[in-house]
Amino acid sequence: MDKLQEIVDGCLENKRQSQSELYKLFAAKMYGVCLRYAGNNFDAQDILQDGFVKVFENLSNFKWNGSLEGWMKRIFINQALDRFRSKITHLSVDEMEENLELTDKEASALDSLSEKEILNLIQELPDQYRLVFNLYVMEGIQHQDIAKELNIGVSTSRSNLARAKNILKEKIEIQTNWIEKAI
Amino acid sequence: MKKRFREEMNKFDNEIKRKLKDLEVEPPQEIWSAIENRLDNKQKAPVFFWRKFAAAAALLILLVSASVFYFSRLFTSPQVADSAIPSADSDQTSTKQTLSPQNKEATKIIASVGDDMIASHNQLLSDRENATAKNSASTTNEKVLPTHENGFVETPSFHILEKLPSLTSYINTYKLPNNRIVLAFNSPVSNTPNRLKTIITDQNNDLAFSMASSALSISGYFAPQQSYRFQYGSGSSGFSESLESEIMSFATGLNINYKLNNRWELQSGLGYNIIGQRVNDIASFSHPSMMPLYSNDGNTINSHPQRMSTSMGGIVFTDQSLYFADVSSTRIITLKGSYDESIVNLLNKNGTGLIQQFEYLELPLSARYKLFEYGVTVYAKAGVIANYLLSGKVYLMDNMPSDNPIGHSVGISKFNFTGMSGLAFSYPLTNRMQLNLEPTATMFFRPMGQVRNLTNKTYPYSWSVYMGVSYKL
Repeated sequence: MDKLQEIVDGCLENKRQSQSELYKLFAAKMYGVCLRYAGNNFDAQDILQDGFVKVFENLSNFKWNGSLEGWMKRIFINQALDRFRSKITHLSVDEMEENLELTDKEASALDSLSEKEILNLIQELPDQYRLVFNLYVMEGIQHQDIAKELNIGVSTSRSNLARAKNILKEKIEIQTNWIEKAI
Repeated sequence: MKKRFREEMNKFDNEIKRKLKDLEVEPPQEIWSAIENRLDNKQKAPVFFWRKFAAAAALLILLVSASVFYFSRLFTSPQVADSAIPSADSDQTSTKQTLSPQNKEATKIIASVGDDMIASHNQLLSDRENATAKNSASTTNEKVLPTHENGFVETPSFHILEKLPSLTSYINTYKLPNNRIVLAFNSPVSNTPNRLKTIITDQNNDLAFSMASSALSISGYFAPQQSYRFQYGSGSSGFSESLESEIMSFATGLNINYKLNNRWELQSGLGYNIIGQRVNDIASFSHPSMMPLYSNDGNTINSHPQRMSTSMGGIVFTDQSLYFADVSSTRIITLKGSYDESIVNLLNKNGTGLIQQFEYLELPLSARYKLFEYGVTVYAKAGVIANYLLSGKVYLMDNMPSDNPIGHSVGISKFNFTGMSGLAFSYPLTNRMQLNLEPTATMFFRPMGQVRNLTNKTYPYSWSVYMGVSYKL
């Protein structure tokens, strides 16, 4: 903790060495977050760059009330939301028919998929579905708050989540069939 | 049933959350250097931009107001315009005469020019009287003045004559105090080339010549150009430069030219410029469910970003069914779901590529120095152009020219600066109009944009020939 405090102090004094150390400590974790929210590696890298520049600019606002990692993660998520906010449609969407029963076969397929493969499936989701999915499933944010954050209706948020999950399920099905055929 | 569904849903959520919660992926090495660059720029950039823009704007305002001031003075006192014509004979000699006391206006002019001019003017006045007496139409008189080889009129006080740019190789223009002009024809066919024959005429006969002394002119140009880009930096860019090539484009605009003195001129204005590049040899195929692609080394490419990276930023496709993959030797576009059949047909043609076009609004500021003049006036010019990016559209090559871009470029800086230098050839068409031909080289001072995840920096440059006419106000 002392070490981290030292690095943050260095960053506040604009020391390049400290900034580099802070980057090395958190880059991989934050890139993971960016990859989940971005549709592709390029966008993720942009968000990572923008996010770190924001972190260095706003580090003086961090008061050590919570973890630095949590604070940084919030900045990267906000950065991602900012990037895609213009693409969000404000029209309300019909409630989605929910069909999310996982068969054993699908459950095991999900289990057998690597982190990278799941990440790819999430990245292929349309922007808005991907954001809602991440905020709800990964960050545990409730629909009311997601709706406020993205300036959409609560029902739209729910429907987006259901659609996202349906798409993921379909893709997992395709992958499963593909693996079976290959075997 | 409802309960089971909730459980299944949670199972699905939890499984994904468990797998991705602690996902750590090492970002590419170049990201840190890009962040460092931006941290560096953050400290310098705003000052840089503001100062340069403020300086350019201030200079432009100064230029325009000075020109207007000068220009208005010139026209409020167009008193006398003197001119001369080439001489075919050379026998006449300078003869001094006394001032004509009855003409005060003449006294005023002549006193500042020198004895020879006094002589000429008095000759004119007496000739006029004679002409009137003879009821003849002639109002002029010829007078030979000795000149130096460089064309300066040799009068006892010739140093007060400011030589202005010549209209042609054999017409020299001199500026007298109070904005009066002497035009002296230095006839190349004359038997005595070192002598000038001067005729002083009434100002009304030759008002046009007096206007040629204006320091201000406007010009329009059109410049066909070859647009290239230069890459600087270390590390692999991830794609081969041979897959990209130059394009033909153009620049056009209007300029204001202000003559500072006999040698120096300043130029500014407003322009429109297109630069860009061709992205060649793009392979394409379609698949309804985005099967994994395989790169040359046999690895699966799982990622199908909707953005193609080039040395001029990234390309984002408008059509959401277009995806892109970058393998080592080629670029591949894949199409998914419902896509435009005509795009597939075009993509499948041999040698199909994309054209990245960037439209810039330009605010140029340049200085030009007169090197020499012999019929054609030759200048060396150099300057800086502030560029503002208007658009960065991407077209299918076989679909050009088309009003239908298939995407746009991203990651390009809105503002930039271009250095410009070249030669300018100026040929007089009339006493006010000039034909200009200016071979010019331009190059961006700063990299075109933040090309993310690349250490390479792209500096566009171009060769062009500015063609146009200028008009003296």
